[in-house]
Amino acid sequence: MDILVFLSGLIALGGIYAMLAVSLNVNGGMLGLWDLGVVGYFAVGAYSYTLLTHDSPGLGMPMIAGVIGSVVITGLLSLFIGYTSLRLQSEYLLITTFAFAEIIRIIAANEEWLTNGNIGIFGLDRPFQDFIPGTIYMLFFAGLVLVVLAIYYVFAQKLADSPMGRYMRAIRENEQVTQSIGKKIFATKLKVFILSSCMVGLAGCFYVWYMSIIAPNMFTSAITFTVWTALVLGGMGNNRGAVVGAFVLILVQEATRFIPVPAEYSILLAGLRQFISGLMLILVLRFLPQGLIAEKFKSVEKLLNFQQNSMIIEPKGGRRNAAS
Amino acid sequence: MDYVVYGIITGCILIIASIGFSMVWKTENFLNIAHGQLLLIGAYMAYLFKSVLNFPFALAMVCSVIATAVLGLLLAKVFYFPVRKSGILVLLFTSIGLSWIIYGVIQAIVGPEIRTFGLETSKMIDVFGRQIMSAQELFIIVVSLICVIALHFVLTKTKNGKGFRAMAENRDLAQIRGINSRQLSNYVWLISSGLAGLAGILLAMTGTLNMELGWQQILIIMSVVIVGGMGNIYGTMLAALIIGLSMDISTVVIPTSYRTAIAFVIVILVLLIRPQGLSRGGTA
Amino acid sequence: MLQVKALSKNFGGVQAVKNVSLEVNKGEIVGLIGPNGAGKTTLFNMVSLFLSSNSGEITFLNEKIDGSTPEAVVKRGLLRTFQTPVGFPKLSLLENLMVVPPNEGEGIFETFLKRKTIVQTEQKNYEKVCSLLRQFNLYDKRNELAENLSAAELKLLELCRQLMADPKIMLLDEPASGVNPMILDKMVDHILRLRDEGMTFLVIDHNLGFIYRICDRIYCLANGELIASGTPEEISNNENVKSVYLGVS
Repeated sequence: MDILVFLSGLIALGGIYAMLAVSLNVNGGMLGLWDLGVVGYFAVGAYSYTLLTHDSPGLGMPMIAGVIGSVVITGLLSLFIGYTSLRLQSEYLLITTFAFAEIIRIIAANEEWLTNGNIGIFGLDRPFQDFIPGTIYMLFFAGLVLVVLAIYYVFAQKLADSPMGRYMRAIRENEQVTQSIGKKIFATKLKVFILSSCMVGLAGCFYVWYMSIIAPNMFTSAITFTVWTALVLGGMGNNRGAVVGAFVLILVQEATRFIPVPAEYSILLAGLRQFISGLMLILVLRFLPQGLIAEKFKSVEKLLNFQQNSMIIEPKGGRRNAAS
Repeated sequence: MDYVVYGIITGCILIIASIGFSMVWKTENFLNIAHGQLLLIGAYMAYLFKSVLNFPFALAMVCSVIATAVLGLLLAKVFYFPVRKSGILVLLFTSIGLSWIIYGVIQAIVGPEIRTFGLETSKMIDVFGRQIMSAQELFIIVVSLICVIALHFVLTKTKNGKGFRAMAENRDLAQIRGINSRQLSNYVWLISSGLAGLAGILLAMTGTLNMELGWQQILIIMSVVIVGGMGNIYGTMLAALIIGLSMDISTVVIPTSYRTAIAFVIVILVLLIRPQGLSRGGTA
Repeated sequence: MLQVKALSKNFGGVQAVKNVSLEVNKGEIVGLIGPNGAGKTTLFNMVSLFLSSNSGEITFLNEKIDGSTPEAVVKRGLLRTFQTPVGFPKLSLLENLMVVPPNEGEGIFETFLKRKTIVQTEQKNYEKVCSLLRQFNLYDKRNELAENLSAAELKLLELCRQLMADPKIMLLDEPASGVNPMILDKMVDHILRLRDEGMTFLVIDHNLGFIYRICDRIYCLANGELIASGTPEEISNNENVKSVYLGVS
């Protein structure tokens, strides 16, 4: 039974990280934004959900309103962050988003009237907890996470295979050329950035349910790095890679908890976890720069279900239609 | 007045911590996230020499700086040099991976307890009848000043220093002129890592030594370097002082716990107004 | 069609372009030559609004366009290429071109709500792309990634990409550099054929032979200033031009 609880907890946590990795893949992998602010939107999603649903501090609203509200609030905040920072390029964007996330964490740690500061808020409700016995609750929750993860995955995959996905990859590959063919890059970046942040914000609600507490130290930059590591490990720009990377990383990090060791070695193990994550990242980067699963190329014909033969073979002689 | 003194001290430490990061960014073209962990290495090395091996503090400092410099160069050779050709994104993530590794190793060795160097509280120095700073704080400022002046001479007078500046101006041109980039690169990594080690020690002198030091500082270091203009050494020094002073003086009006947030607010504002930082760097 | 009046640009005290005026009429192929650093690409960047000018005026199709955005001038039919034709390296040739035309599917909600129109647009664009690729002999490589193309093929792909956007004038930045003589002949044929179909060109290149072959008129820039203009014959005999080119090489 213990093993079952442990395993479902592992799957739930891995699933939440996979949700984050898929969300990050949308703007980091496909669009190529160097966004190091993941944990910021994660924290905002989690805190808005908690403050909307919890009684004190909080507004005591129903759970579903909390979830919707948290997505909306994360969206609004990312609109602000995105609008101010998305004009910046690569490293500058990276540092700005990083800085925003840090500011969010510092605010969460200090505004005690709002967030109860570093102590955090305990004993938060979980969805359907009244209907499901505590012993198998984690199992149910892991299932719930996997269902939502599946929705995330399908959504991101549809996006990747659509003209939108192609357009996003074009921006990633060469912003200047994309601009030279008349695309409004900033608006697109902003839209995708907000979408990705909202997805992260929603994952924040699941994180709160998983932990059943909320505190600022749950939202350090280590989470951002973990999600990026998962994405790079699995393969950037590839949703399947994002999911695999997240699960592999969480598995490796958490599997060490299985090893029965005397208490005095637990510190050693904690260090070992970090060490292994870092080593994995470096080895993958050196020997499999595309990640465990490389971004797959799908031909346009396959996506459009064209049959080659049904195409008009005769060249049209260079006449261009006025409207297209 | 105290806050100005604190600010200057913070600024001095930031100068030492940021210059190396800035130099690496300029020559290797990537953000070396692991630079923060080099601070941690420096601080714990000094702890090892001082508190475990019972060296005098000054000697412990020197040993630690040299050890960190050599270790930094070795780590760069093992981890960064082989993937140089794979692009800056790979280098950036390699440096994140290296940060995990260093962090994990140190954590496994020293554990989570907070430590101090166990230095005696030094007496205050009177200037015109006012106690403005302790001898330790003066020491930090003097060490930083010496470093800055020494670095200035190294950069303007030695062959490698001139090579670095040429490289900072124009990488391709520097290579055409036959500047030995391999030797230069070793030299940059040595200086950069040594300075990081020193910054770690100075930082631990002002407070305590804890595992999160590296992660906390790297963000502020990045802010400083960005505000100073990419890879511009003197701009970085100025930015370090500005950010150090604003962080500590701001505590007069806002809660101390928001101190670091000030650095981030500054960097965001600067980037919004001048996307290339305060002083002009080379074109990216 | 395109008029540039007294255009200037400063880079931190260095005058990259000084008071340059030029004109391109419909159906013309106009060349822009000059040694490295003469300000040719800077001028292109300003005309395509990638760079803002310090002073001067740009008129396209009788409307002032300076102060507008790069997207807006593309919509009006002014397209430019880049010196280094990298395109989108990790996209296939088909994708490289399919991404060009305005597509309703390029939105998050649209992706899920307007599936039918998207498929129709895609189908239409696909046919256009294929016929274009056939014209430029790239059809067989349509599913290759652009990074696997040769430099010359990439130059052709650049032309295709611009053509997908239905241009009225094309600004070509060094279309002949790194192209072997055989492909160069083809490039010349393509450009002349497009001109016969009514296209207008403004071309930068260092290959003077190529420029003399295709251009009706030529402008010569040196140190940001216009030093000569005229027919290929006039330019090839112009003393200023000769001294500038000899002085550099």
